[in-house]
Amino acid sequence: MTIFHVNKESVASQIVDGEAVVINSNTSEYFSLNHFGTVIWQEINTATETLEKLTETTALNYGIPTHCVAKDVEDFTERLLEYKLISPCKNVTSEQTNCVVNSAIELPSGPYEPPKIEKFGDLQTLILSGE
Amino acid sequence: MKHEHVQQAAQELQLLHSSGEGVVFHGWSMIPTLVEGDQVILESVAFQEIRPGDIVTYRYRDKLPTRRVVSCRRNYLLLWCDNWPDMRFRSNYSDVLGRVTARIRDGERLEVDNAAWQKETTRAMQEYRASHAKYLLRQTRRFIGKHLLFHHVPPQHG
Repeated sequence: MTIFHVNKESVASQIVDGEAVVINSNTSEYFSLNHFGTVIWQEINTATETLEKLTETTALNYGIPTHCVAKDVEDFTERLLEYKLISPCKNVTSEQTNCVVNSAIELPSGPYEPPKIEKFGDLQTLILSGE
Repeated sequence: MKHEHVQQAAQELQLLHSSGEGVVFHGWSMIPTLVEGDQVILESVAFQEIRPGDIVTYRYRDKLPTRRVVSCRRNYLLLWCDNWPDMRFRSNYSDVLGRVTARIRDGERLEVDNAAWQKETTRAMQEYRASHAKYLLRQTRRFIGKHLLFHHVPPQHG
């Protein structure tokens, strides 16, 4: 089972109206995530929960087959890896996974929407102005 | 989320994660503390920690003005530029994006706690107070002129 971590040396994020905005200072790209994408991002960022557990909770909550959500989550994390926003952390056993305590996963209200990441253009050079 | 909101949030993140090389300063309004082409290093700051004398960057439309705080009021900050003594600016606390912690000029880095920077801050604040005193004097003169000296007294007819 793979656990990911955010590449914090080059990646920064903030949540705006429940959706994450992420920048990668190495590649000068920036991204926005939808609500469910943001939930996954936060889980990776805080490393409080495994994505498998998140997948199960989501499937149960929205009444969707687990394998469908698992596929969406896998596709999403592949995009995050592709954009070099996260890296695989380590492999853990299922026994270790069970040790992780699920505090409270806050899923978005409304119907299920697969996690999405949207890539925007390059970051522009910032200029501070006194004028 | 609208593209401009994403762009603005990305810009703010960029600003606060540029600690290594800093952000370019443009303009002549903060001479001599900051001059055209200086690299400015910023840190995020809680509004309770902002003090008069600090130089902060805040959000104003699509710009990132960087000015000196001269007074922390209840709901807003009063700011001015070292090189524009007659102008005042305001910013809400929520629009403040960061506080300047250092500048890099010609490859030399100067931190805000350095004696040279502190001296510059003291001089700028003294200048502001002198400018503010002149401003108050002008306002007082205007008030006296308008309400006391030229008060219209109708002629008395016997």
